[in-house]
Amino acid sequence: MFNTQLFEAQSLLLDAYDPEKDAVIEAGFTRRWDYGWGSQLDAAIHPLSSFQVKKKREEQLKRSAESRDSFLFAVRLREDARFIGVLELPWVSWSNRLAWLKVLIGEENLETMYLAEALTMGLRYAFEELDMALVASSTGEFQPQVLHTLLNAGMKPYVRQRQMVYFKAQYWDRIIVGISQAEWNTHYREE
Amino acid sequence: MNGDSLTGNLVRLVAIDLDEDARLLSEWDRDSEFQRLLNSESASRYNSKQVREFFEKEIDSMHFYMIQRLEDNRKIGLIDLNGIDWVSRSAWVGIGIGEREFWGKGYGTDAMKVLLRYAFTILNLQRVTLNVFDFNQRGYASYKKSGFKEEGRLPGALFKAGKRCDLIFMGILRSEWEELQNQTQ
Repeated sequence: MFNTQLFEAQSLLLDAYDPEKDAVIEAGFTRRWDYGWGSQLDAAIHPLSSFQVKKKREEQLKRSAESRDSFLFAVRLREDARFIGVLELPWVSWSNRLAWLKVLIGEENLETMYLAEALTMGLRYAFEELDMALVASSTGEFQPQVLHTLLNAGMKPYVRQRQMVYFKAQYWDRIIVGISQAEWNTHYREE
Repeated sequence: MNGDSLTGNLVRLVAIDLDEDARLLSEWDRDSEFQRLLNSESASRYNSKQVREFFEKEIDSMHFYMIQRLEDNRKIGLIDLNGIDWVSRSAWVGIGIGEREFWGKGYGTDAMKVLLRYAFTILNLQRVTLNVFDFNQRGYASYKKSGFKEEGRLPGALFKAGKRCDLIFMGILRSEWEELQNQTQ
């Protein structure tokens, strides 16, 4: 009946986030400034302890369960279920059918290999399961590889917020990208 | 500089009075057009107790002000700075004039000028951001007049009154605001 698995792709799994185990590994990811900036686990970027990450992710999961307007998944390698990052829909606006999507991969080399696949999984979930009309995402211009991946996934750059981000001693633009369900259907949906 | 940096030509910004203003804010929400212009989420009704509880919980994380007319001290709207990022020194602004009879008469523009002065000269921000919906042409014109520049729009991002509409992003940098001040002096 359904040809597509939402939570399994060629190399990756979308899984429940395990605050006991995953937070320990994610705390290590926060030593990478780009991850810390993207995760917004705290207002200022700094390495977090596993206790801090666990607490924040547990709060996030609780809010998600109560309000159903956000989602958090662990991204794991399919071959050994290793935790490599998170996929979040930090805000789902049901009345507008608008969702924000964020994918964070902890290590740079794994980001290069798997960001695109994880992003596609997030878009598929948002469009084919949640029936969103538009999915948006954002990145800083200091992350050209992330922007490149977002654009390759069919997202279009719609907004450039000038000097919105201070990172590594200078101001950078924040770029907001988006893709509509119609565009998703044209580019991705399996017949 | 004027001693009271929160006073403009038509309005002053005053701290919220949780008893009196919660009732006022709840009353303004009866006008669904006001809500549609102000909020991206669906319009709803909240009683004054709910409004008060919201502010009791959130007030420390936002700079929220009522817009008061200088002429008769009547409170006619609201304005707030939220989502302040002290590292990037940026914040978001939200504004609404709740009393319809004062729409399109310059009160919102004056309140925004006061807030920007506060944001750049007191809080030392370097950027202020806002969202406006494509059907809110009056708001869009007012923000342009205050110095905001459009930075793009998410097409069909919102659903209002049975139609999809664009979510417009606007921003003003401190350097642009300072240049505007120099031009007007």
